[in-house]
Amino acid sequence: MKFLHPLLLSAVLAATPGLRAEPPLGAPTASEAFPVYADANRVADPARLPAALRSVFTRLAEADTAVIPFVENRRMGIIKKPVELTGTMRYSRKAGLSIAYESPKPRVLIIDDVGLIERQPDGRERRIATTDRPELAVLTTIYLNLLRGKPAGLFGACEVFFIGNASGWQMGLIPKDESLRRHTGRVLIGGAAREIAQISNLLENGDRRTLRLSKSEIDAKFSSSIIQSYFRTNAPGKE
Amino acid sequence: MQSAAPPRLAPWRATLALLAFLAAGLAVLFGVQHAHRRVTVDVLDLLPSDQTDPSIVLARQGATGRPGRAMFIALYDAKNLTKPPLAAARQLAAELRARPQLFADVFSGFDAAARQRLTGFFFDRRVALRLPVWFEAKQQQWRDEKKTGDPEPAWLGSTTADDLRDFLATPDAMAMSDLIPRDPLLLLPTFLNELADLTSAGLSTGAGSEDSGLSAAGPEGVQFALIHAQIANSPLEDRGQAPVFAALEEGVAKIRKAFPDSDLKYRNGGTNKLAAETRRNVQSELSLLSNLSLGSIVLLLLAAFRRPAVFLHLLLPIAAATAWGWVVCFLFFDRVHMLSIIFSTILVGVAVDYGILTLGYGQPGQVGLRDALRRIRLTLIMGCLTSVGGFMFMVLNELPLLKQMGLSVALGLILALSLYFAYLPWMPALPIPQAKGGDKIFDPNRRVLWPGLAVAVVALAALWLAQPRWRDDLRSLQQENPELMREERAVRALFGRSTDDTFFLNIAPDLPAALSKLEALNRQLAAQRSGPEKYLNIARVLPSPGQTAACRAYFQAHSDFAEELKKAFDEAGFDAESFASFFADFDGFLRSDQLPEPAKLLPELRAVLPLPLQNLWSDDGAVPAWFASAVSKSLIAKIPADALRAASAMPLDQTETLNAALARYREAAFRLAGYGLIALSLVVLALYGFKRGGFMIALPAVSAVIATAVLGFLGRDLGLLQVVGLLLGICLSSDYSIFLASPGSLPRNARRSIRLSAATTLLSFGVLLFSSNPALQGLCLTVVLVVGGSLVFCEVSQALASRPAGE
Repeated sequence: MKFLHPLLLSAVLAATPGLRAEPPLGAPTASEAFPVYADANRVADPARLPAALRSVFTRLAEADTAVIPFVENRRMGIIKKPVELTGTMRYSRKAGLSIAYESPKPRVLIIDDVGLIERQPDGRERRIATTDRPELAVLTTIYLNLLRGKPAGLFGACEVFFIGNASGWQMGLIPKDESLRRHTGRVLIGGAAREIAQISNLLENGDRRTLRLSKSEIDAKFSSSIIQSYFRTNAPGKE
Repeated sequence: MQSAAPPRLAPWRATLALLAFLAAGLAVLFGVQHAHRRVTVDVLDLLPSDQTDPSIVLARQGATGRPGRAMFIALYDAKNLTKPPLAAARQLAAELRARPQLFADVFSGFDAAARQRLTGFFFDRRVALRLPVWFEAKQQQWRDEKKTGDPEPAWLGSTTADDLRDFLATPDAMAMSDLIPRDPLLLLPTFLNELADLTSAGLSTGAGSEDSGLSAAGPEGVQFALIHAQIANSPLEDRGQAPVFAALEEGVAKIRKAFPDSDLKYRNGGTNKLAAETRRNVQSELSLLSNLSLGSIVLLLLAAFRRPAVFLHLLLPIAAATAWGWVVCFLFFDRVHMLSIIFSTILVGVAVDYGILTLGYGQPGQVGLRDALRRIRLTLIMGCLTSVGGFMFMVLNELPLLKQMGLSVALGLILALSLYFAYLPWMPALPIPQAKGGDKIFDPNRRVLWPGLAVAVVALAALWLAQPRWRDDLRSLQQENPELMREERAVRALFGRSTDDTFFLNIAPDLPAALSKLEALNRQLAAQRSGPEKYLNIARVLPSPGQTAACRAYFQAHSDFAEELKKAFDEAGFDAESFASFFADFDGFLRSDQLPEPAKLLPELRAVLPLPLQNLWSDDGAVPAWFASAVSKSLIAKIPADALRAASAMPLDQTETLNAALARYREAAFRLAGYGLIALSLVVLALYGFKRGGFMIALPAVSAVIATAVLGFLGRDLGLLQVVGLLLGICLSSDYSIFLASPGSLPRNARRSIRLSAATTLLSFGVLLFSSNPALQGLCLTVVLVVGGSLVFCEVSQALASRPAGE
């Protein structure tokens, strides 16, 4: 399975309308299970952000780099126990976001302004450009604008919901693009101040992916070997 | 010598009539040879068209069928080399697609609709088409674990559950979460995996295979946007060349306007480009050399006779004979190769020695040309017949080059001699310088015989020592431009052609049979594959009927598989009940007796696959049918030759097979020409007796042996064209020996005729030695050696024979 081609894999869903059916029996809707998606918490105008949300963006924007160990849980209707993955996220304001899975099998996902790369331990890569895949463009927009503290870009791609304050907050994102919404579901982000503690994808069929982030090392220095290993080779503007 | 009867036709009227005949011939020739692609320089046109030899048929299919019609266009932005101009490439592709008369298909990347068609095709048939392929992979895994017999259902179930568990940890699992309950065997993801492998080989270097734009990085980091095109016409025809390049240039001009901030440039490759360049080079070089060659003959004869009028009287019959000879040839052959035209024109030009010999016997005011012709009629006819006989036997060969050359030269020589017989009698004896020397008739006496025998023995010994190597190489018939080939390889490398793999074809009378052969090859490849070795072909995504039947038979015989799989899912932590829809589909497959029908499926599959993958098998209905595989060289080396033969697998590069075919034609040409020469030799012996006839036969034969030995010492391969060269040389030389040794022939006239004829031949073929085409060089060198040798022998023989007795 290690050579899977994201381009074609994702295309399967677009190509098979019959698969859109089959909602899980008895699964609560996202807004029932997660109060942040209540209409009252919707933030409609990026120019008039709640003070706490503005503060969150401001604090997030302060970090140039970050290294964040994480544990990811995947809960799916077909399995009784969640699948657990561990790894380390590396964020660079210029070079983008790298998600390095360490277990059960190592591989690196790189999300940057150019697109998405899946890199295998032996160096083989699959690349997808954002210009070619609108749904991925929205995905990269969410991650990169969030980490860079740029609300405008986020509002362009998603409906935004927010509850909490600077010391403890929850942000709900619903991609405006329907195909992305089907692939990634709603995005739920929780944190405190500029620390993001958790990112979840809530799929319409009830499947869910949750990344629990450990305390991050802010403004870490990236050596050239780290950059070589975890970010796009010859990326424009890479640190 | 009696004086000739007064002519009944005024000379100027005869000349006018001949001129009219020539003009008519030229007019008809102009008309027929200007018809669509009558004159060709393509090497494939040297091969027989109605050949049952599969290697030749495949070579034709490869050059003019789907693979040969592929065209590669790599676009880049000179102002921004690090970003591939994908949008511009898409627009250029649209421009080209709008010219269906030139471009049958153009592909610059998947769009949503194409993606949907492809994945929909396989999703709808995932169990029927993918389960047999999946099962075969599992069987291989079973064997890899050193187990024998059929896989056990319990093992199959547990490894399947493991695979699914692993898949859930991949980044794509969430995106596929809706699909997995209906496809827990991951039939579609494995297909996509296989297809990704195929496309990374066929679409790009793997540096970037993107859904709506293909790109690749060049060796210096330049980013190219890639376009695959399939031209609508044969790449060897004009319609597949100039208009295609013009349309491409127009398309690029349009996108340059649409993207003013970019500096768009492109590189392109394909058989049509190579063919067009080759044609241009060959035509310009051969035109120059053949003009020089003919020009040198004209100048030499002008210098010899010093009177243009005399020369024109000699030239007119030759020109008319050549023109009408070609008219007849064009009636027999659809396409005529440039090489045939050049050679036969030169050879017919050599027929001028009939005229030269005749003129020598005329004496202004005393002996007219009518009488001169009457006197040497037999000499001329026998000289002509020895040549015509040799060439007529070449017509029986299957090779178009030999057929065309044989027919045109034979016709040209007969016509030329006939026209001399018809035209010269109306002419008065023309004022030419008298040849010097006595009137004693040449006698091949002992003074000639013994040295001649010694030379013959030495020649045979030299031939034995030289050990000439008989070998044909198709590549020597082509004129490769190294710079062009480098560019072609560089462009193809951008499109994924790597250097560590090799293309193989599985061949059978029809596609279903070829697919079975491919499946057999795949089993061998799968068993031997290790590390990064790859084999890419369409059987990796499409099962054969045999594969499907075997898969169904296994699961019908192991009806406990479904239960074992459910158990394994349960043990691995899955909710087996969630896969109910898959088990229903699986049950349906087992109950069905339907087998995939390649004849129906392959055209449907071709319609949904991206363009480069459409070329992985032959056109529907093409015979023989084939499937192509790209296989790592190290992997194919592990497959025993017997297994390759059993799967009818042969390398795509057919050069060696074609060389073997050429060798067969060479042997046939040798045999046929040999029969022809033996028959004519018998006639010569019967007409001229043992002594004179023997001399007439031995002189060209010894020259040919010496020429062959010299070529062997020079280390040159002797191939088909060298055989043709030997035949030409022998035919020309036999003229000389007959002219010299005929009892009615005056040695001084014969000597002048031989010298002039040999000089024109050496000059004309000598000029062609400067050709960059190795085959042409080889042929001309052979002719030069044989004719040169014969000239020397004629001179020496005459000198020896004329020495006073006792010296």
